[in-house]
Amino acid sequence: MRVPILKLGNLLIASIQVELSDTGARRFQDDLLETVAKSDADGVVIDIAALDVVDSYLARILSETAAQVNLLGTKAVLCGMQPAVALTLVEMGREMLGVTTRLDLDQAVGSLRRKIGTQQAEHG
Amino acid sequence: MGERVIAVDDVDGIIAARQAGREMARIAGFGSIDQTRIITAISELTRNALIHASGGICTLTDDSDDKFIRIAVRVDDHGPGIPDIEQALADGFTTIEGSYGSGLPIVSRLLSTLVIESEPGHTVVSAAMSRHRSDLR
Amino acid sequence: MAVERTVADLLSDRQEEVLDNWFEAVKAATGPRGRELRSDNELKAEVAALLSTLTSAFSAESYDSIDSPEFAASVEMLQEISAARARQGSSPTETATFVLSLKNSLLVFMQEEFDSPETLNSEIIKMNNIIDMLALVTFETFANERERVVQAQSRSILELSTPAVEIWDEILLVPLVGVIDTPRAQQFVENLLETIVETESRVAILDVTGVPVIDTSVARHILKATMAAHMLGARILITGISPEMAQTWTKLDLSSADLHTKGSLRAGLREAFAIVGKRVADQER
Repeated sequence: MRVPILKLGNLLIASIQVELSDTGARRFQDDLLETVAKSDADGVVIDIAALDVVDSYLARILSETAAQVNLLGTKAVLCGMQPAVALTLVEMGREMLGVTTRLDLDQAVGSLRRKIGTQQAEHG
Repeated sequence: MGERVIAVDDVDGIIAARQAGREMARIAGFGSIDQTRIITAISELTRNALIHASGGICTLTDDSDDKFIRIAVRVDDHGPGIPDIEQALADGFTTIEGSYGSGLPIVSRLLSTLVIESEPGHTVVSAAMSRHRSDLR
Repeated sequence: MAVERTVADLLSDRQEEVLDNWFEAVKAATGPRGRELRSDNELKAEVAALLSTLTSAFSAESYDSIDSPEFAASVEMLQEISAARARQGSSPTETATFVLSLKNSLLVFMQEEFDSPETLNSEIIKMNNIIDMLALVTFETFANERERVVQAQSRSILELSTPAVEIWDEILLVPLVGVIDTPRAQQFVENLLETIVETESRVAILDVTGVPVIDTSVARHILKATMAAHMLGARILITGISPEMAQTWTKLDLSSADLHTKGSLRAGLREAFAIVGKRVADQER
């Protein structure tokens, strides 16, 4: 089962609903990067609200994916982390530094729109 | 007390082990954060076995008594073995990400105890989470 | 004519007198708190009940130790008496005297009743041992109950103080009061993160003015909470750190960069407004 990627104006929203195997994770990365490149999106939101566990493997996949999206010149934001997951990641030493995070979809989209808006204003 | 054995041959096995772990931890009386710690550790260990040893057996046991609540997690696999256990357990940041022993420092941070026995062909990782009943709300 | 007497005989024959004597001693040792809580009649009833169980206990064949079943009733009653006094705020001395004053009372009567010096001596030694052991039970029970009461009180202080207040849109104020120990800190961190998510807050001000001491492990829990909150898109500001606390913390391996602190609640609030993009301005006149 592939992770669905939805278009919301100039943003892409990917909502991870199920646990990813190593093949599934690589496929998700490929799909997302391909879609970013094709659609010329300005921002990507990766929503993990449905996940009640994030182990070190998945944390790495998420960090890598966000970094790869950023390299393509598109802003990536991770949202929806459950409190227990956040605390556990801190205890594991996997705080995913370098990944922009927001509480939920609302805040994530809002923050992307503000950042992109500023950028467009600056560059005309 | 209770014991469940789950075969982990694919990612569905990881999910099944985690669900079983969540339920056992909840029944034993662990809070939601502790439940998350336990199932994250289960995820680390079973995924490790799956990726590096093509699968394994996960045994979950409720070892609680009148003073402590306790869940034990044991994962057996028949993979190549961890060449240097001490190194695998040393500071997590120096272990090569994605290597056979890389999830172990994490498990040792999340749970109360961790014991590893490994030789080529058979690796057993046993970990447990305990809490004193008087510390629970 | 000299008759072989034991403490048990003495207690059954002259129980009234022993009781009166003992009761007067216990009453004399009772502080104002005790006198508030118990009338003389109630106190005498307590003493009488204990004396009655001791009389049965002493009539056993041998009484070397209070572990023998004959003393079970006495030990249990004594534990209840001590625990109640601990809860009510009586002093440790007053509670110990309850039992120890029986020694003197018995001694007076034993000297009167026991003819042979050998019997007197051996009975005094046995009686002394038993009452000392009972006094230890009293002390132990008192101390444990006191400990339990203090812990329950500090827990309830922390429970009262932990409710977070949404003082503005997206700003949470969490005042902490009382003693925090590690199990409470763990629970507190979990509750705080849940509350941040529920209220969709972007800043949580943790005011620790009312906390006298924060030890290393609690400080680490707070640091953990700060990092976890960051992943939830929220910032934790700590206000109300005393100069002493600041000194202790710099000696630990926590750098001030890890924990976002502000001296006063006022400064913390200003920072919180800045974070959520709000400014306080004078009204147009």
